[in-house]
Amino acid sequence: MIEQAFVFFINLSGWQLLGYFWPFFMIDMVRYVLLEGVVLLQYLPQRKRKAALYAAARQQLFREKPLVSVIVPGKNEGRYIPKLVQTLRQQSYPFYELIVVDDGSDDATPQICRELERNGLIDCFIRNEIRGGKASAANTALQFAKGRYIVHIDADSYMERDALETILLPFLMDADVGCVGGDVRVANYEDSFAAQIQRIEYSKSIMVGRTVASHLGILRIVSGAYGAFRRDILEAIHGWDVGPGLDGDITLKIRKMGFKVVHEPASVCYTNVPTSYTKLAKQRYRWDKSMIRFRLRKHRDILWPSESFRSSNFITVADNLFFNLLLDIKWVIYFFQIIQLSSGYIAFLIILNYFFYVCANLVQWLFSAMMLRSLNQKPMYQSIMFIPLMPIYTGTYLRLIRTFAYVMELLHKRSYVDRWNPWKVSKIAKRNKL
Amino acid sequence: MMKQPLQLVFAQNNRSLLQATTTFESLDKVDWQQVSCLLLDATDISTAYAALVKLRQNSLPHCYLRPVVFVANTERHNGWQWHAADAVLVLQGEHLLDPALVPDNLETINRWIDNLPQQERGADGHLQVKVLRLLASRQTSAEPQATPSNYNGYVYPLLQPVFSLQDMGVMQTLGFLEQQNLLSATLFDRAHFCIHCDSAFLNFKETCVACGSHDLDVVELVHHFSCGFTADITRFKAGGDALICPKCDKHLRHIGVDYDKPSTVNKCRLCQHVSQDGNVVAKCFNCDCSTEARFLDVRRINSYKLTSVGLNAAFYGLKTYFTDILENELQLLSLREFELFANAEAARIARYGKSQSALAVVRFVGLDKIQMELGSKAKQIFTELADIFKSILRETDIITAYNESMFAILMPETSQNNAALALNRLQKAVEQLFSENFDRSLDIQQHALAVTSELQVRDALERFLNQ
Ligand SMILES: [Zn+2]
Ligand SMILES: [Zn+2]
Ligand SMILES: [Zn+2]
Repeated sequence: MIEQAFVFFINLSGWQLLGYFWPFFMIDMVRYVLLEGVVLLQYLPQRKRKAALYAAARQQLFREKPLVSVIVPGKNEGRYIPKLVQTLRQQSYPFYELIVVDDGSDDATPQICRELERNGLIDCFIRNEIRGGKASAANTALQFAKGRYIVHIDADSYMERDALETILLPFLMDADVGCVGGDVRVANYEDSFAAQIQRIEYSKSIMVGRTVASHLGILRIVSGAYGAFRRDILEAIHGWDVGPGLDGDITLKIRKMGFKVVHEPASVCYTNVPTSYTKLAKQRYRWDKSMIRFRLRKHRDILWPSESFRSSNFITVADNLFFNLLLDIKWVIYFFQIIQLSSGYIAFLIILNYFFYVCANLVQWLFSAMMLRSLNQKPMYQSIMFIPLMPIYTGTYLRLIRTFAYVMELLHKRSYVDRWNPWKVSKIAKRNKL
Repeated sequence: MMKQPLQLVFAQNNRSLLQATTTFESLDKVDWQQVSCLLLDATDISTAYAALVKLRQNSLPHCYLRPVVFVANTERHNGWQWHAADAVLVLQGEHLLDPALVPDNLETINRWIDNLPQQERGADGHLQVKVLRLLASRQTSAEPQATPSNYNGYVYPLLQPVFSLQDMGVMQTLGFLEQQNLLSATLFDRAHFCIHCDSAFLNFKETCVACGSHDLDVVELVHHFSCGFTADITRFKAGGDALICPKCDKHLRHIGVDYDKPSTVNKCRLCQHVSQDGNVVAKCFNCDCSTEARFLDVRRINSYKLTSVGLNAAFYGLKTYFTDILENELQLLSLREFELFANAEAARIARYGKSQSALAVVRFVGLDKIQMELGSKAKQIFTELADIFKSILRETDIITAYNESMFAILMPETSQNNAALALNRLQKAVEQLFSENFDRSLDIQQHALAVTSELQVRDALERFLNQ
């Protein structure tokens, strides 16, 4: 069968190849292999050349010693805090304060954090008895933050020793930088198969993908799990809006104000990802719904020409919409094309498409290996074993979830009834069409 | 035999009785069988209370248990001291007191005293027995009363007059009696006490965990649902009384509907530290010390009821180890016998004028406390103490126990000086015993006096006890 598929493949002319495999050759390969490759080839040497600038920024940082407020809003996450506290204490940059906001936990979180506060390991612990949602908790922390920079981090993550120091450097190197995304990686990849796969996905979409987007000036998200912000900017926009997807939302707001949003792959933070496919599906369903809500509804003004129109902001949103939403539709078209015109070759087409996407993933994996090398970070060679499974994961599993999410959100506005927010908040958000 | 209903009335600032011959010093000579109750002039409550204290601290059950009535000239009775007496009568105008006004139930107290076994009617300085008897004779329980006039905040009005300053506190004594199953406790209140001075008068205040200042601002947080903005309520106050969100300019209308107040925090005005975890510190009104609230002494304030064992002990007394042991080892005489010997010796000396004898008195302050603290080990201590007595006393010496911590020794053919020397030896030996074996000290009061014809043993002992 595979042999026959191969014979079928070498007998195809160039145009036929395009005709049969246009989604891969015309879209995915161009966007995720060629474009990223070209950008990386430019970015990595350029970063090397900038070593002196990084060194100067580091010197300036330790000369000025600006206070950094590390804020950790969350619910029922007390059990992770001691470990987070420990990684913070090992940071090469020691001028930080830790603010933990407990958003109405119903477990031992208040007791754990209170104890850490008494021992001076948390600078400020605030418990909101009534749950108000992640945005409200983050805003509570912001209210009492004293630092020049705010680092927003998830409780269940821990940082590399130099993470705090490196995430601040972009601010010092460019006064127009409004927020910096850190490189979130998978901590618990050894826990399950699903986690191993996500580790590859994270390195591909965050480390490589966001570095490329950042270099092109079209980065659209600073992840809530680990990102740094200028406090003056956060205060000017009065903090986070109601989620879910509040991290993408605030990034867009900062972009709209004219500030740059960059990704710093050298600042590494490890986070725990869902270990089962069911939990993972739930997480992604939530994320995907928020895409529609924020890009298409709330920030739709970015797409229309207006006074504050910026082409980079337009591309940011358009790229996202095009490659996620429209390309979702492309599969429907491709599917009908195959059924209608080439039903005799279905098996060959599937095998070959699978082969192409494995190759593409392999190239992307090489990109990430290159990046790790040039950043002098731990390689992740053994993850190559899981590459052949990636097309099933991204092409089938994630796509199904995404399609379902989009449909639900477009038709029913499901994100407004997401249990992620307290009901009182969702109700108001829906009424106000946020 | 008919009693005169009101035999003793301490009138005119409570210094003497209406029968002008009786004073507080001569209470022992009163024929108590004839007294149904004592009336104290309570025009001035503090002198009336002081008189009550003198009565209750007497060592004769017939005296200290006798019903006491305060005679007031006003209806307003402020202060716990009013509750220390068995009854309060209000005098109407200048009329003489009508005997019919005295409550009948006081007679039940007298009946209880009369029923005391013969051998238990003698002098009795034992605090614990006194407490039990006061409760038993009144058929009541020890009820605490909160008071601002006592620095540890609570007082047991009926029992308080029994205790002098040197004695252990009422609460400790009651606690001990509870441990011995003589009383049963019911929780009345829980209270915090200063660990430095036991005072219950404490000012609790929150202080900054970072710098200890108590200059704190309470900041109320407001969360606007529609925009997620959460901040100090003062930031929503730009519109006067109405709350306006500074982020989205909307009016906040109904708490719980479009906004809520998720929490309050303390913000230190001195160091700007923000926390919800104010350290609660208690400042003592009495000694001025500040103590963190979690280190304060939290005690149960109980009311106490006699158990059946306690009722029995009230009647028949508490046998203590020490008097038991001394009785066996040294052939203790009863106080009555001792007095007879002492009188005979005094007469002999007066008659021949050739020799001299001495009366030595020893008091071990807080011996009852030691018994309490050491429990079963107390027996060992008391055996050792008895050995010391034996080694210092001679065959001819005669010894009696006035109560279980005070002893009188008649030393024939001994000068006052030699008796004092013997007492000093005794004191040294006892002190050594305690410091070497029990790592604590025992306070000893001792006194030697010459036996003369004027000597009244009971008076001398009573004076020594009250000095
Ligand atoms: Zn302070
Ligand atoms: Zn608002
Ligand atoms: Zn005190």
